[in-house]
Amino acid sequence: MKGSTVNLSRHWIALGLLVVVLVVAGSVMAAPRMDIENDSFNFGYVPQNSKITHSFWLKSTGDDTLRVVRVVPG
Amino acid sequence: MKKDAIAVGDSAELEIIFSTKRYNRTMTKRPKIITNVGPPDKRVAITASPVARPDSTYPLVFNPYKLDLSQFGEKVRENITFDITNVSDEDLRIEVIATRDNLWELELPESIGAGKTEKAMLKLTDEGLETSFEKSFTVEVDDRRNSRFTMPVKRSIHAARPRVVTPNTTTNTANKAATGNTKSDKKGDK
Repeated sequence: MKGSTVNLSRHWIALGLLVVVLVVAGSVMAAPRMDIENDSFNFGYVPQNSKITHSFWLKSTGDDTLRVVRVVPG
Repeated sequence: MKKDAIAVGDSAELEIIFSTKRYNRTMTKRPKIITNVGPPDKRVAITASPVARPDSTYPLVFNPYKLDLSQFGEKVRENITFDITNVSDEDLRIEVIATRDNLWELELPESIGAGKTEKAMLKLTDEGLETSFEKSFTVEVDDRRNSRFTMPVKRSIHAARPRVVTPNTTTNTANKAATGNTKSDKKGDK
């Protein structure tokens, strides 16, 4: 009787450890990801000495928040 | 960018501004986007062909080739018209490739006959009327090269200068106080 109680406790501990491992692994493996649908744009002819603009859309497709640190002019 | 943290499944707008300066050849810029995704960093690419003589492009010529809706004083400037001339020998269809629907509405002809000139109009929206900006829109024609043209659109709002009121010795005290002319008031008090 006592032996079976010990076995049951061990099962619960093992199950608990498994859950903890899965949660930790899940949080460690969660990764941000970025997709850009159209990553190039051609303005064509433009006048000199003017400012023109184009918007790209960045989509967060991973399983963690995507953070844009900075944009470096190319 | 309007936000630098993008939740899972969300999107964010990244606006690239290109100053054409006095460049006179086709050029490509590749800004790098550094994120918490890690290397390799992604890049976007923009290509533009600045022209020194925008009044002699082919197959379309825009006049004026820059749209300035700047407002000086209280008179509201809400639209601007411009001409588009087809200087080629074939009829051309025009398609808007990129625009700013939140700032303006474009009224463009769907097609322009060979050698013909058509009127077009850009009308500011309520949001466009309230803001200063330097943006652009891009159109494409169905010639063999699918030529594109980008028109800069600028608006700056300059407040009306305060009306200068010259001191008037016959003016009563209440009016002088309104113009801030306190020196003569003090004299009067004595």
